[in-house]
Amino acid sequence: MSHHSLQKALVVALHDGEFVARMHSEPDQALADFDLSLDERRQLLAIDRRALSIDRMRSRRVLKAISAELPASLTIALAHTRRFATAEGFFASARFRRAIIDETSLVFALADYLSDRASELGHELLDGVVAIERARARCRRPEPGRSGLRLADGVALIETTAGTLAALHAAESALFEASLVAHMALCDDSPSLSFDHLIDETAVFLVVAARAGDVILEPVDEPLYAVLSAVEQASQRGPIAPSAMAGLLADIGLRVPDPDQLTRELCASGYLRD
Amino acid sequence: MDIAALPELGIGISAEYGSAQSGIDALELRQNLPGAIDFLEYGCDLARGFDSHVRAWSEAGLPATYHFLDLNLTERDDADDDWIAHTRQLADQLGAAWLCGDGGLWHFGPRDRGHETLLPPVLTADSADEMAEAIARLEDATGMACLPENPPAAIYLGDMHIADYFARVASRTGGGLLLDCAHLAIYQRVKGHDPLTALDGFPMDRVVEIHVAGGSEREHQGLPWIDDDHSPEPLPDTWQIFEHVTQRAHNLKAVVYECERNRIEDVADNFQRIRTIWSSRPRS
Repeated sequence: MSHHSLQKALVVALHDGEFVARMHSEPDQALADFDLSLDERRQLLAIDRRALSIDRMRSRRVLKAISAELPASLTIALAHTRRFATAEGFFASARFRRAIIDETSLVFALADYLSDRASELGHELLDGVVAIERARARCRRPEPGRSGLRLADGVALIETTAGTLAALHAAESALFEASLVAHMALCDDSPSLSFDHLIDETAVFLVVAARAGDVILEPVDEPLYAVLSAVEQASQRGPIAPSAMAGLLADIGLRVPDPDQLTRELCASGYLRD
Repeated sequence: MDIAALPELGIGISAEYGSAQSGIDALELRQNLPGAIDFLEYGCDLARGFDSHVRAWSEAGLPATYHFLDLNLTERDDADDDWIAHTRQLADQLGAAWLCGDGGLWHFGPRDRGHETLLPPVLTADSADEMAEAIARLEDATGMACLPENPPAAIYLGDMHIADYFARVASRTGGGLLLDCAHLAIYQRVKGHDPLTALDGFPMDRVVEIHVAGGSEREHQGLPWIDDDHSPEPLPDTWQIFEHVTQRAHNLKAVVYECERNRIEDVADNFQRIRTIWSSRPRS
């Protein structure tokens, strides 16, 4: 019970009309996650409901901001359902509420929400594209550095499929075309989007890297991916010394003439740091 | 923080990133309407930084203040070391006389895209005390005065009057306040109070800066509300509060007319009116 909890409940109420309705019809259930005192609950329920909807564009502005990092994912989701309610439903979702309560990023909450939709729809391409865009978002937000040999700041690894990559590029192209004349979306004869024909299970190994203000996707061969992945997994268990490369290579069945030289080259290339 | 030692700046105009492109350029205002303004208050967040307009003002060596748009004063630890260092750097570049900003929530959760907002604090004693701690921490870290401002809203939660809330903040910090007359007028209307309600107990000697701004009366599904849109003409309630406070705030150093989105010809008369009221205030 604190002013912070009450503030969070207000934030959710400002974005989710369904929550407002539920907090009046089923207050115990709707407000269960917010740790409010009886007086705080009374204050929340005393708010004139009309005041909560004065800013009609509030959720839309948030969606515009956060979907900028998940553009292809949202495109594929909406192309499949053909309902904008799929996007707006984010604000009524448990993912949104949890992000507010836990003070975590809405970009990743939207990614989780779209992954949930992908699971419901059995849409593997959507799930794969969400994973790539989520990794890009993570690369834009480097976390405080760990010590020892590890992936470089702003670098992530994704194992995906050729079909997923094709769907990502197709969605990005469709968005670019739509941005040229946005009015096209209003027309019944505007090109329809379909991604089902892009199914291709060929494995693709990607390094996702923040470079010069952008986040690039760099396909790499499987052995390099395996080396980088081994370093990532080992470093997550604890700091590892650069000299540990020989052991990591042995663990994945790879041999190189000079493991130390390999470490230096991978650091110089921006994949790793120590 | 010794507010008596703060410089007297006079009458200012507000600006934000890009505001001069479609609204008022403060240097042009100074040139075309000599005597209208003495300083610029720049509303800034670290994500965008300075625009060319404020850089030009700063390079001219003219007085300014720094109004943050990305700090939650209701959260003791929101001003992390990184934010403090970068904000101090920008404030120094600006030559800012002090820091100021709406005391409430400028972002919910992390400082990240999509999280921007402006919400007032929950008006309780523990919230006021936490704000005071945040201000003290910020002033210690920057060496600059930080003036909390009462925010606008259609919804206020908590059991204190907003004037009493900020009075408590000031009593805990020992520092100054920024009283936004337009925002207070909005609060009084939301609560069904007269414009001057609760000002009899307000620590007028802590008011260092005042804001005056236009607002528009609107209606949503039959609910009247005021849009803090910085249109040219302040509400009569705002003028009433401004005149009342100016006569009593003996440590008043600055008044900002928040009219940056308008045309100079639409705000010239109000700059004169504000200066007349400013000039007639009792001096301590």
